[in-house]
Amino acid sequence: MAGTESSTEPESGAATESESRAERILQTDGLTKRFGAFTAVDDVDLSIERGEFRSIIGPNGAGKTTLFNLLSGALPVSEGSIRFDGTDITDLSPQKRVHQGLGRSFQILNIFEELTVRENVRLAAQSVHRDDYGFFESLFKPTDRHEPINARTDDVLERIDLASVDEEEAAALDYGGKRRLEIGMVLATDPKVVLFDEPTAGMSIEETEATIDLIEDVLADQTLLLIEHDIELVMDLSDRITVLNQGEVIASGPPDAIAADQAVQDAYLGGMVE
Amino acid sequence: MVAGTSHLLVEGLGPAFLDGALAIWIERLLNGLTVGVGYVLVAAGLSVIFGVMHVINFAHGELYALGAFFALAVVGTLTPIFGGGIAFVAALLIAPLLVGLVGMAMERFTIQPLYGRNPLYHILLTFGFVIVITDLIKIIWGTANRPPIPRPDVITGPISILGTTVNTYSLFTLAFGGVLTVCVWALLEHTRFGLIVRAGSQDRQMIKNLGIDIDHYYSLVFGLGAALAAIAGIILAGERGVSPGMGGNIIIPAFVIVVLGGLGSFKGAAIGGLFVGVLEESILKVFFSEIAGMVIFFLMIGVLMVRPQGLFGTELEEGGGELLTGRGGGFLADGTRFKLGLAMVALLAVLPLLAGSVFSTYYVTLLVRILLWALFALSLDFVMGYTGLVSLGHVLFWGLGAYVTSVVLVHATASAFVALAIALALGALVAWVVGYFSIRVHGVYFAMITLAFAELFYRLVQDVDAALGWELTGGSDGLFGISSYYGIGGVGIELDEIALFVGPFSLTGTELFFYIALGALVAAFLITRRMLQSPFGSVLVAIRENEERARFLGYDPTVYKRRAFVVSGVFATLAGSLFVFEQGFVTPGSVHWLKSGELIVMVLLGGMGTLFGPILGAFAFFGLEEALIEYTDRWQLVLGTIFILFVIFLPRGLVSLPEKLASLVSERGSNEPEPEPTADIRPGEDD
Repeated sequence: MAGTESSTEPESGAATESESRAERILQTDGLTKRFGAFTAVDDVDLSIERGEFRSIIGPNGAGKTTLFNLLSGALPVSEGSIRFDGTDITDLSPQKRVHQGLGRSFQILNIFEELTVRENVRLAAQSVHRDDYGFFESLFKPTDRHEPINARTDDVLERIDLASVDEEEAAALDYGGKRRLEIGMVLATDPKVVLFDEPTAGMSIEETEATIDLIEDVLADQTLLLIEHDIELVMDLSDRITVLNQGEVIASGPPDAIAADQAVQDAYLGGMVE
Repeated sequence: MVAGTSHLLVEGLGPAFLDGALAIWIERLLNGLTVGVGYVLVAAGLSVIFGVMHVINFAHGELYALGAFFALAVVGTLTPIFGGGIAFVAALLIAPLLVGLVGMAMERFTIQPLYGRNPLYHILLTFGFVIVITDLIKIIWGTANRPPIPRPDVITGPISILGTTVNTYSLFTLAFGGVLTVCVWALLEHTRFGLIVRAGSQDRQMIKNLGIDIDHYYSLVFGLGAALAAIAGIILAGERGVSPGMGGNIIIPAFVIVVLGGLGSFKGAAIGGLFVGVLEESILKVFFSEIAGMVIFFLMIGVLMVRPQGLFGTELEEGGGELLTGRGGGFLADGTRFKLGLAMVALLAVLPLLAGSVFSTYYVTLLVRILLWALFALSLDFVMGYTGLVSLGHVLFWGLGAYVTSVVLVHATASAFVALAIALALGALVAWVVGYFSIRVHGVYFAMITLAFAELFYRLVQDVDAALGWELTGGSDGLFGISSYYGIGGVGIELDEIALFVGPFSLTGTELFFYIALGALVAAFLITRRMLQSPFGSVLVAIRENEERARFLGYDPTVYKRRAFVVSGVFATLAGSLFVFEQGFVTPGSVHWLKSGELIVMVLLGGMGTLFGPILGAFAFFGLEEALIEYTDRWQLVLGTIFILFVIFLPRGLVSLPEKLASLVSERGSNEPEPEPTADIRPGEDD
């Protein structure tokens, strides 16, 4: 039921904007991941420009999440390399990638359920300031007296519209609220590039719209890499779209070009209409 | 192999030694293999139980001992009727069957309710059984060591084979154990029973969906493992005699073997058992007797680091539920709790003033002991309750504190300050090193590697004197009569020489030391509590809640866990060090693994992840001991039983008791408004 009509609408404005400041922030070269004989990600070359909104789409099992796991460091690569903001991060640990400015959200909701909403965001904000404190301060000074962290926390809570429930346990939020919290946590780590793994999965239409608005609103300055299965959503938002099938990139380009691409039609869109 | 070795010996020692050397080697090898067969039977059950049910059965050694004692009873009963030979054979059949039934009952009624919980709770539960069964054995059969069980003449005495004389009982052990091992292997690999059991270990729910009652099979597997351990116990009892401590002696080597061969691997247990038997008996004890005890723990640590799944095992995915902390127990508001704590400390502070008049000074000594253990328990809670690291070897740090302090006081200076400073510095260093090697492995493997480090230290303090050739730690006796003064460079005071007068009361010696212990505990509590409110502590909590998320916020869990481990190690070292100032002695018993177990008992009894829970736990533990010992020497039986009940019904510890009671009361309360019970609804029936 993917609306092919809306997907053919031109997105030329966004595309030219990203071309005007063409600077690659994230780039992969021959990125490959094998599990035994099975190749989940096959020789993928990505080139993301600063400020770009890039969507990765593809049918189930196309290797989208595996690709994210490679980019974020959750899995070691089999072959190929990843460059981020001028440095090779192929062998960097996940936490070091976060420090470099690569944030991610998860397909399966991933927050600290038993901590308060505020503490969730505060932990993310603290990560940015982790080197600003001496031995005794970080070991003995209570968290509520670290002003820069608290200011950042307050700011993020406002932006994700959870300031009013900040002392509640995260587990008490509804699904959309938890997703917003997760986006807030990514935001609080001050990323240059954010990897979003299906941020609207399992949401109602209203929640989806609200979440997308939120992403566009609070993360407008950042470079975004989004995995989605809702093609309509992707067509409207993206500067460029990369289509994966069986681990390989079968098409990459502006949304209208992707919608017109025959290989994509065959591998993906055709299947969706069925 | 044997021929090659003898060839070497021939060149070195001359032809006259050929026969003698060969015979000696055959005898040594046979010794090693005989012990090895016993190991194989114990380790195989242990490993299969772990592989199938993911249960680490600490009570496996006690089942082994139980086998020997049951056999003793059977032989005692039947010998007058049938004679010794037949009675032995009968015992070999009946005793394992009985122990198998005991094992099945254990699994069915206590372990089964815990499936789905963190594997720690199986460790704790079976540790409870160690306490209970050991005490039961002492009650029924007494504490004395017994001579070997009389066995048939056919398998007694030497026999001459190929020109060398060997012990027929060794040959019988090898043959019997070998055949049995092959049979069990065939059972697991080539029968429908084995197939279901192996499939069940992969995916329990799937097997249930197929309509197979897998719980039933689990009971059988546990019973089988128990029976194998019993057989090993009987066989060894026929050679070495029977003693209540035999279970505790075999369980550690059995763990070493299971880890070497691979947790869950039957083949690994079989090969590992023979290997360790031969290594210990045929090689280490013969040529390197001074360090024989330590080598296998180095091996164990090495294997766990390089290949945690062992030589033949497959890596186990992190499984089971989370650790159940006592937090959120919700009883009393923070402010009230603070005041209550303050009141408790104030109450404790008054007690020594009354010693000697209102109650005996003995209770001050007891309270000091409790305070030090409370400090020790608090230190464990900091890593276990807040970072999820289940250390089975925390006694290492207590022992380190005790031994370093003692050694400095005896050999260098009597200054308590200097000794304490050196002990704490070394404690931090060792904690960092042990943490560095251990924290890279997870779950049960972490538990095993910390156990190995503690056992290594346990052997070290006993063997180091012989290896050095002079007295450092006092070997297996320990160090006694240690005195110290509170000062430095010869200037200071001894507690026994001063008296402090508070109104009509005087305080001296232990009564003064009481305040040092109390001060240390309160300080440790306040410091760790403060840490948990700091950025450092907040990350620890985050890691325990969701390690992956913490990692993707930019925190390195390994680094944070290691820091927490060092903090914990330092406080545990402090407790051990203070223990020496008070007691004036140290023995290897201070480093025994049972103490690590008792420590975990206290933490869980009180409620982990609360800091004050373990303090409560220490008071409950020793309070219970004190109350029970008035009535019976076998108080551990009661304590162990209570502990088992806690693990099953109140895993969040004493601190969760008010909440639990409150929920029970409110259930009652909600039932009350209902109209008076009709004839067919009796109150309490729906509980």
